[in-house]
Amino acid sequence: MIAHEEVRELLSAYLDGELTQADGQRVRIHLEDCAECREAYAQLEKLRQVTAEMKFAGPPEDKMSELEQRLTVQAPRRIGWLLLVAGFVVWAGYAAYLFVVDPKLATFEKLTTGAIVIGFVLLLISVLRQRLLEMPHDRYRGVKR
Amino acid sequence: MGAAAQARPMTLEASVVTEPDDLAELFRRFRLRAFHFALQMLGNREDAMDVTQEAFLRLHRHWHRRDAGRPVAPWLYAVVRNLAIDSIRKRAVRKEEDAEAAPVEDFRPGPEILSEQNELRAEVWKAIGELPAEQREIVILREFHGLSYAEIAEVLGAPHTTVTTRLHHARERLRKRLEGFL
Repeated sequence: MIAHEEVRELLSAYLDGELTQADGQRVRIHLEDCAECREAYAQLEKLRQVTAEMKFAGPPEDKMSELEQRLTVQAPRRIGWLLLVAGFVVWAGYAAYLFVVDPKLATFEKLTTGAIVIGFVLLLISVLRQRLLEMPHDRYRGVKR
Repeated sequence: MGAAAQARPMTLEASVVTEPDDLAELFRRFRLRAFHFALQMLGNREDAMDVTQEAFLRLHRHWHRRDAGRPVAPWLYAVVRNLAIDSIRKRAVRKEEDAEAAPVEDFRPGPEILSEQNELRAEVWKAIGELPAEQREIVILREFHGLSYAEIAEVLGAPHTTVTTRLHHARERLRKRLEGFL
């Protein structure tokens, strides 16, 4: 015979259908004989009924729509950037190849133009790197200046 | 008397038959649940919206790293929960800095977040608000969101037995506290 106190501890899980079949059966049998446990169980059921009827305030719809926009727009934007950068790198590589193998241009022209392009790329990389490193520490990030 | 028919466990899987394919679908299905969970934890629509927003953006950032074999909803609930706890902590720090403010332990989500009030609902919500935080969150996940014990355990990162015990103690408290109302 299952102890009264033991059943009291199982009532909550019984209400949720989270007991094993054997434990559920034992609680059911006890409830038939114990008015005190029946009352406690009825109160738990009533509590569940009241919570099921509760309705909560909705979200601010303008902010929710804004969030949806951000989530749906960001994915294609990322793919767009990826395609743009990939296309540019291939195109620039091909242009550099044509430039290097062009028999009409003198070596001097190739070297000076190459130096200008490499210098420009190095400067661009260094600025981008600096911006990326500073980004997490920028306390005004997202603030309109 | 409902004792004759033991309730079947109400679970997230039961309400969400298939897994969402992408984040947009997850957002459509779970935006209200995520917002309400944050609201029930925080008691403030503005803070709840901030937490909801950050939770979905975080999922968006880490979407490619998710385990496709596991349900995604408990992950979302866990992220909302962690962000809500962070928000409560930040609020506590702000209150500590303000000598006039009430102590942190006094934080309770008020009945104003209920859209349709009556005396019994307001009293039950007040009683839930008076539970210790670790019991309150389990009651919220179980009663308002229909998570199974296994799902709650996953959200909390706690053993199944902890969920069972805390829920039992929480309901006993509520039952005694609401004796004249139930």
